Amino acid sequence: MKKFSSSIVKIETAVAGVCLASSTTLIFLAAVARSVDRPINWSLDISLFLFAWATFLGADVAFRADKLVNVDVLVDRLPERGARVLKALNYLLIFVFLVGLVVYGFISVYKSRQRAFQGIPSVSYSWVSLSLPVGCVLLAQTTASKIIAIFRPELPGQGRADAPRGADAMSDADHESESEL
Amino acid sequence: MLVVFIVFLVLLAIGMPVAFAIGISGTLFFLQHPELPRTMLAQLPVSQTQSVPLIAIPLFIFAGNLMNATGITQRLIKLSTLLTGHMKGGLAQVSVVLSTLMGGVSGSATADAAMEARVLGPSMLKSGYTKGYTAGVIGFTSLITATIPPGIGIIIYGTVGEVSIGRLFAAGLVVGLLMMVILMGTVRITAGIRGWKPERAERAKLREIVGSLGETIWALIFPILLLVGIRFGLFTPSEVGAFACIYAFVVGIFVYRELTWKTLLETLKLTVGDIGAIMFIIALSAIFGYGIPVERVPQKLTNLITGISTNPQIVLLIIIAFLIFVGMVMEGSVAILLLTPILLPLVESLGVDPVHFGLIMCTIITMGLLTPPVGISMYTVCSVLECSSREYFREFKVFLIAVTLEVVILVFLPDVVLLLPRLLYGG
Repeated sequence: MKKFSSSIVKIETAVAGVCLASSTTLIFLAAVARSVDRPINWSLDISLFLFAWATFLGADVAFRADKLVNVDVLVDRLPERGARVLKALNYLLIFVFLVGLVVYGFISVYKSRQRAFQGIPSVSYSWVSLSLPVGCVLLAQTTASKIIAIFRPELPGQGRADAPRGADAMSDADHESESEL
Repeated sequence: MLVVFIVFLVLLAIGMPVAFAIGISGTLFFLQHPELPRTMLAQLPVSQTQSVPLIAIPLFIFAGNLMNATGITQRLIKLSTLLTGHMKGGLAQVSVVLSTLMGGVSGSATADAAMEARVLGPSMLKSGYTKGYTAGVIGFTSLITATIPPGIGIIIYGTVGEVSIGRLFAAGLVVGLLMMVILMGTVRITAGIRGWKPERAERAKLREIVGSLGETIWALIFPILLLVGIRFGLFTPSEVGAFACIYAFVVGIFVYRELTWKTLLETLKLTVGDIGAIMFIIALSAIFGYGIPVERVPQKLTNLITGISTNPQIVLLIIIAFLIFVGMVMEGSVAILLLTPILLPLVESLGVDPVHFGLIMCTIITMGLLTPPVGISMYTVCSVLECSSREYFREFKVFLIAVTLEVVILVFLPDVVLLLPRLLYGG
């Protein structure tokens, strides 16, 4: 399970990174091309497609690294047991929500298969809308492993959620220990 | 929509990540309206990512991380020390000026605060500044970074509210510089009272400053390049974001020669997570936002507030009080994302300039990063400096007064805010 999770992180980070770097380059090249009167019409469309994938894969990268911002002022005041129950409830709700998005996501992928993407007849819009259910499957897996981690408190690698959690306070070290769980 | 808002606040309170709290509470609107197709839940977030202006946000985050990786931050610290080290409260002044110079590098107040807490914090404590004062000055000066273009909050406001990014950037430059002057004054006065010593014995020699300027010019001219690039139609705002990335990349490789393949990969890895976190919120906000125009929330709110008063100044003050409250309990970019479509139509109907309102809104909401209960910059700085909240509150009043002064100027002197946008764009 550990190995499985860490290889998922590697793959999704790599794919999202490639999407990000290539769309940045594309947008820049298109701007340059336009200024010398050689506009590349498809560049923006491809970049948007890449950004959709970078967004939903990156969301899971952030969730695994506990980089998604939350408010824990109230939760931190609760006794250990109560905080754990509340956390489990949170993740359970999230899990149900994600399963819903996966189901409706795949339905709309199927429905949009005939719809051309940004007027390019040979490319289906499904390739774009596929990014959401795929990202949500990964997020659901992350949520499931977070729920399991709550109910297996005897595992080493504890001490999470003690420090105040700032958006940038999370380092890569925390990331490593999180994905081990 | 009322149920949606209440559930959203409850979910936030029980510690759910903001992105999911937005998505789940927004879903309730669709459960209340069975006539709406459920597949919209999956389509709305995807179509939200397919918006050209929004691409500017991830691009500027990427650019900021790249700039940091080029080694420009270290050079900017050196320049700020040369410029202000001889003043009273030298290191605190360095923090003010550094945040201003970082404005062109980074668009995030929290990132700037975290960086300065790590880099300047230890030496400030060693020089005898109290923990609370150090945390306060580092935290509050990071507001300048978020205001000087490119600022993520301002970009979100501009894209969501369809306000000219170029004009907002131009106004941000003026407001950011004004904030620098006010905070430098604050530090000057407090350091005088406390008797904090300058960091250097004498003024830096002109030659030193010029040398340091030459090294850092690439970061300093960047906000101006942005303004010029957008104003003269060389680039659209999203293209400018891509340009910023390539610019940082070229500076890092060819000018400073510190950007390696390894640091580039590290930066890319870091950025994927940063972008995922913010863009996921933005994508899911499409679910939340769908019901707002359907249920005519802005109009209802307008009726409610204009029922209290129709005097534009008073209405603006009511909105500001509301923004202060929201800024305290909600994370900055989320608040701007969710409130712009509700509040902007209201203030526009009162004849308030959207650029003017944008700067007021972004300043107040960003200020909320420094106040409890939800103050992300505050928590970040305090945890890096190991500063207790009691020490922080003892010293943070003076900075709060300074920023309040800034807000008062913003509200009552729109001509100051709109000076540069009018010069550049007319009107």
